[in-house]
Amino acid sequence: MKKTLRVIIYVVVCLSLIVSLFSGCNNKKETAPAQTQETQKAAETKAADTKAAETASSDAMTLKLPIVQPGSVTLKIGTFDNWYAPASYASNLAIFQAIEKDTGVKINWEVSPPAQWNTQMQTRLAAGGDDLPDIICVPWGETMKWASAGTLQPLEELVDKFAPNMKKFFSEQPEVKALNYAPDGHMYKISSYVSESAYVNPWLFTIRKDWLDKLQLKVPESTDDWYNVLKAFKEKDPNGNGKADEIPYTIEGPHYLSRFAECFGLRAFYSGYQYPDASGKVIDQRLTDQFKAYLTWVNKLYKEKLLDNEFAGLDLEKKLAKVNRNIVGATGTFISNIPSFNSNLQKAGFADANYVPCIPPKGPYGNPTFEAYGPISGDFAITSVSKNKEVAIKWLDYVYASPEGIRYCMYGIEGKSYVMENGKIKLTDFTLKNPDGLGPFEALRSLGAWPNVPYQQKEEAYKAILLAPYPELSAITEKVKPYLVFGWPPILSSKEETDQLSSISADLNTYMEEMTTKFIIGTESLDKFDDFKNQVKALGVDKILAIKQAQWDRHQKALKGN
Amino acid sequence: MQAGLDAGVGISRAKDKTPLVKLKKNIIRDRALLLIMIPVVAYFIIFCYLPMYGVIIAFKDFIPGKGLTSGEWVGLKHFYMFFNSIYFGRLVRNTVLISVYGLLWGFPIPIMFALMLNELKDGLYKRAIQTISYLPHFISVVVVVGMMYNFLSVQDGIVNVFIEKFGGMSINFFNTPKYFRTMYIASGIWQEFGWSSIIYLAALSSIDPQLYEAAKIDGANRWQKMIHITIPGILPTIIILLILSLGSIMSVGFEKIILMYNPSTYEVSDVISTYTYRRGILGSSYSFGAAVGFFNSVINFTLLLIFNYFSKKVSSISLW
Repeated sequence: MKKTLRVIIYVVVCLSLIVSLFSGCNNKKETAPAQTQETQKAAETKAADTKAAETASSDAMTLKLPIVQPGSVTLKIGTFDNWYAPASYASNLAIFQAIEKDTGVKINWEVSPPAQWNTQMQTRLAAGGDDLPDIICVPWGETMKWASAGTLQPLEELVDKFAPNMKKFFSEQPEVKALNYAPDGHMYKISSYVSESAYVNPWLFTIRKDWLDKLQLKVPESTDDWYNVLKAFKEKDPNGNGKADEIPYTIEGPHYLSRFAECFGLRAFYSGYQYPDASGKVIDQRLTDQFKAYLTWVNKLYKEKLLDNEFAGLDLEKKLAKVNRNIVGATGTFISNIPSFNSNLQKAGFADANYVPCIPPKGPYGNPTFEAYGPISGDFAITSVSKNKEVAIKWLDYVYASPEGIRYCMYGIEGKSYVMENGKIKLTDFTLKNPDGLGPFEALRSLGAWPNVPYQQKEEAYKAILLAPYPELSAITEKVKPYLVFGWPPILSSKEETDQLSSISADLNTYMEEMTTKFIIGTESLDKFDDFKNQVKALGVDKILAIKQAQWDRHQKALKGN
Repeated sequence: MQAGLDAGVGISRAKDKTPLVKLKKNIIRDRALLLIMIPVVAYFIIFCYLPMYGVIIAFKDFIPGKGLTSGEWVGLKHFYMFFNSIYFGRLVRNTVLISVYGLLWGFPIPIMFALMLNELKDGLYKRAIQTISYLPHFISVVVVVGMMYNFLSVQDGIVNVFIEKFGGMSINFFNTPKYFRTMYIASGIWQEFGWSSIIYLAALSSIDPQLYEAAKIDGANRWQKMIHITIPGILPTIIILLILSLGSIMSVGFEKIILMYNPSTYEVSDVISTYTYRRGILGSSYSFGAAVGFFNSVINFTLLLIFNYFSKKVSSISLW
């Protein structure tokens, strides 16, 4: 009797364990009918949509509001969450409430923190399935991969039929339009437009003006000046603590160091040294004498410890830690960060600390150009499994390109973050002197403005928000503007191009990075520069250049075609 | 031991019956054990064996989003791509060197530490030492590398401050290739030796105390007891663990290396897993990544088989 009982218990325990193992599968089966119901419902609303769409397309010049019967359609948007983390998009922020009121479209946000977004969306896309959001932010650099896998919906017809504001904007901005098109002639994505703001917040060298004054030096204007100033920082103890602990110039890693390369006439910061020469032929500038001259100069800085000898392994946090200790003479950053450099140092008791931005220094090859970020940023797409494509494109049209949408995205909510005065927009104290101590961008983002869906950045908004309290920075941006150019345009590569590029460039990039760093820190002598050039050629750089040439020509043609 | 005896009895009893009947009888006799085993077997099938099916993408041009069965068969293309990389030799060399040196230094230390702890009297002191020694195991590797950056910094890292106080030149540890392996392995040992010693301490506690008493009566001193009783007592554990770690000699995790390396130390720090990470994940060439991973596993498995075979021949201790 007792034995049977024991057996029963064994069986029950084991069975329950097995059941719990397989319960994952069971759940799926149970929810299946619910899904079909949903699909049915979706199909019904879709039918309603198409009807609405037909009436809309007959009058294609304006976007009819509300887009749908209020509350009848819910769009799912998958993107990375607000840069101002405490205000998640999932909590239905103010501007999106307002947009919902205008458009009638409910939004269901599927967001994750920015740092995890890429991996999370990659995984979701790789898993496939039909529960993807309607609108997604495509993982960085993977637009064509997912487009060729059929995951993304071609948008050109939708834009043509349903998005009058977008159409108008694209006809005014042929480059933006051209860059949205894939080599197969379809438009799979829409990107945020950032070129106007690129001029407001450039990445510049910044230097301790108070140290310069102390040593009676001027803000350096050429690479020779820079050498002399950094040397003086090293030798003359400008922070006055009696120790030679100054780091004249520090920077977070080899990439950011390459701003100096641009002073030698190279296109480094965003183009990665591969850019067409004057005749339109794409070359790798790392094979030129200019690059050698740059390496020689930086190697001199490194040897004399004018360049932080730890730069190769630094990241932003480690650099800021050094800056905050009052030992860094000069570094580089987006100018919007400079006020915080100064205020942090002043809080730490260095009352005179004063970083100022510098005009791009003149090198041995004449005036430099500095590359700016743009003209577009971020790829957003409608998924091909979406059941509400027309609604999605109309919603995007409203947010991205309509005057009201632009105002929401730039300035937030009228009466809260801005007011209208004589027909002009004026930011309120909520934005500029936020009672909770938020910075202006944080305050706007807490309402959902400056969002992570496609939008247009406007120069006047950027200036009003960012530089209003700092007229001297604003003045510098005007002076720097003539030096700024856009880097290699983000032309979409076809799948074949991507495959070829990735198989060649893996080894090539490793080699280039490694050798460049070694030349700079002197573990490899610059006498071997010719060997370096030969090896780069042996690794197949010409094939990469040929692909990029084809892309460049394609882009030029697309620009002319518009 | 017990199971072996039982099985023996079972066989002798079932001598004159057919194998099928025998099997049935054994199943009925061990039904409880077999039932208890089912969840474990299911776990391995579902989470370890079924996913192996995914290895097929190493032989295909996998298209993400279309499932594992999508894409063209390309045979060994991705393997050749890896073998033809100019860095293939360097990657294998770096991986093996980091592993071998790590094993050479890292393997004996927990054993010695366990032996030393074993010689201590039980009490607060021993327990405190043991706890302190295994605490670093719980520190995230990110934090460990951050600590190394602080301690070894050129400007005011404590190590360089000492070097300068004694008249030396400060050393740029993180940008000098020759220090990379030492830093990597030493920090690994610091973090893991206490934790790894736990298994040896467990093995030590299972040695029959009568052996020590007998040795004491025979006049053995502490050293002799350690050589002749303690070490032979834990030798099977040592050998099994050695075989297992030899079986992972081609895999060096990428997390810590990625935190520690930069282009100036690639020549010693770039290993197979970091290269695969840069190319397979960052460059999203999943098929290529799968091919390299598969290549790695095959080599690891072969090594494991070889060492297991030798161990069986030489010491009759083996995994199976």
